[in-house]
Amino acid sequence: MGLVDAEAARGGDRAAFERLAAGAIDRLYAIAHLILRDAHQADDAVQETLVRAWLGIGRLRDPARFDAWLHRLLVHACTDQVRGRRRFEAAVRHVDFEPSTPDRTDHLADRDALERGFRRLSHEHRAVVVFHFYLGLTVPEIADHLGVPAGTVKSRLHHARQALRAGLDADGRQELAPTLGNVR
Amino acid sequence: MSTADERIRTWLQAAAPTHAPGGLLAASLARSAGLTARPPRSMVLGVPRVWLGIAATLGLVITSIIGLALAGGASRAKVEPSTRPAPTVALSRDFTSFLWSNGYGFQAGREPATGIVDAATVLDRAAERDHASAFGPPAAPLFGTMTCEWPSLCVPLVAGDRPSATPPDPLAVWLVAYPATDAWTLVDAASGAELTGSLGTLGSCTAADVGTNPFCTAGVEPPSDPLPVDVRYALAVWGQEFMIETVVSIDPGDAPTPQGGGLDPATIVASLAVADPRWSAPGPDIQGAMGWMACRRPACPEGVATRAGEPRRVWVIARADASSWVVVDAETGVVIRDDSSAVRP
Repeated sequence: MGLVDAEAARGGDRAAFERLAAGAIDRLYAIAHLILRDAHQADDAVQETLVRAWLGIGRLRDPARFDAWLHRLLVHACTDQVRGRRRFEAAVRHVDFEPSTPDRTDHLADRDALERGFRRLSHEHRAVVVFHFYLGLTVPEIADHLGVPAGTVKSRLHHARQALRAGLDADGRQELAPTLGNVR
Repeated sequence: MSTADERIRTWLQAAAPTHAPGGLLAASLARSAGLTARPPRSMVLGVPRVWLGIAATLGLVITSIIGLALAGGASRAKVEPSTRPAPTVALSRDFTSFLWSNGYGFQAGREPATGIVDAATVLDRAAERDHASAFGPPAAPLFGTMTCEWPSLCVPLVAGDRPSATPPDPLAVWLVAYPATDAWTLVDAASGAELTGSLGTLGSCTAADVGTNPFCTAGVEPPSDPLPVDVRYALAVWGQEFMIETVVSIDPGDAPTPQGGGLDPATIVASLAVADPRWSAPGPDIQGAMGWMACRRPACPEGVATRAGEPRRVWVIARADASSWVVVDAETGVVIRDDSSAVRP
């Protein structure tokens, strides 16, 4: 169905494009949110991506590569956000809250360490991490999606892994055995 | 995959939102609907037509570029960005207390251009419900999203005559305040129906706030940099999630002022100083953040939560350098935890 819709959308079929957009939007939003770590910027990046996709789909050479092409548009849109073209901040601030997941003893420490390490990465490195660890893509696939050489992907992935592992190792050196202390 | 790689993968899977916000698809499609997709490439004998003409037009292209540069610009299709910036507003403690006690969080944001009932319609319907006669005129609605933060607490929300979806996905809502009487309602942005049972009071307005800040948080600035990061880390390692409601700088010499809901921080610091000279001695500024603390582990330390899994209102009092800090029950003043038993990062 995806290939058929991509072919049709490339020919100007608006309904086919809308089906493709509906099928991709959750994934696009998740990727943008992971890269940008900001809901509003992710919102804008996804909107820009779909607008650009509609504008450019007529020139998509291979409909079978629609997803890869869409991901590349998304990363470009995230880049635009990072460069500050549209920045909004709400004055009301909440601590980020995780959805309910099965608890593990080291889950919160991991989350804190990885969150801090991830935020220190550039958005280019974050994109590679997201595509590899979240989407499960190989290095050649990531290179295809991002439109960069495989060597660049390897380099970014290596650097990102080192940075994130260093954060985990540093926290792991602390004894994470909370005591009840003065609980009354 | 190595252990570290697996931890990275697990964290990303947990951190990723499962669904795009409601209205995002509609807004995206609406923005693109008015634009014309560029047609497919046309081919001649298997070669893109444009390549065949490129030699003939190259000189013209170069000339055009130079001409446009001299003229000071070129035009291209512009995609208009999203409309207004996110509103800056401080939410009243009563509103956030209501939400959190029912398991929900709220984040103000920009309303999408399409896919929801607009603010003007929301106000018209509020007038039809005749809230104004009871509560006074409404202020301009505030758009935001509600998210179920504590699944064990989240009550299903009813919009009109049908139940609305119980989030894990964010629910788009309008918050309508009635400043004259400190009342407020929540409206389902998709349907325009009022969320049943949401009518509450702001409760902390002063006469000076009415008409200027519909959410009536006089004297309380939105948190900018709430707590030393080391304190937050220690709380996270301990196993607690801490959601901040407000932050204040505390001068122990200040006379206590009512804050609405439990003990005020100056009183707490004064009582701490009686038993612990760290809180009366000169040193880095003392900051306090009031919030809700909930245990996120399967087995909560005894005394932390009033009921298993539910949030407890606390003050976190900390020196700016995190050298000393303490978590205190906001209602009773009982110390729950302090830095002497915490693990430092």
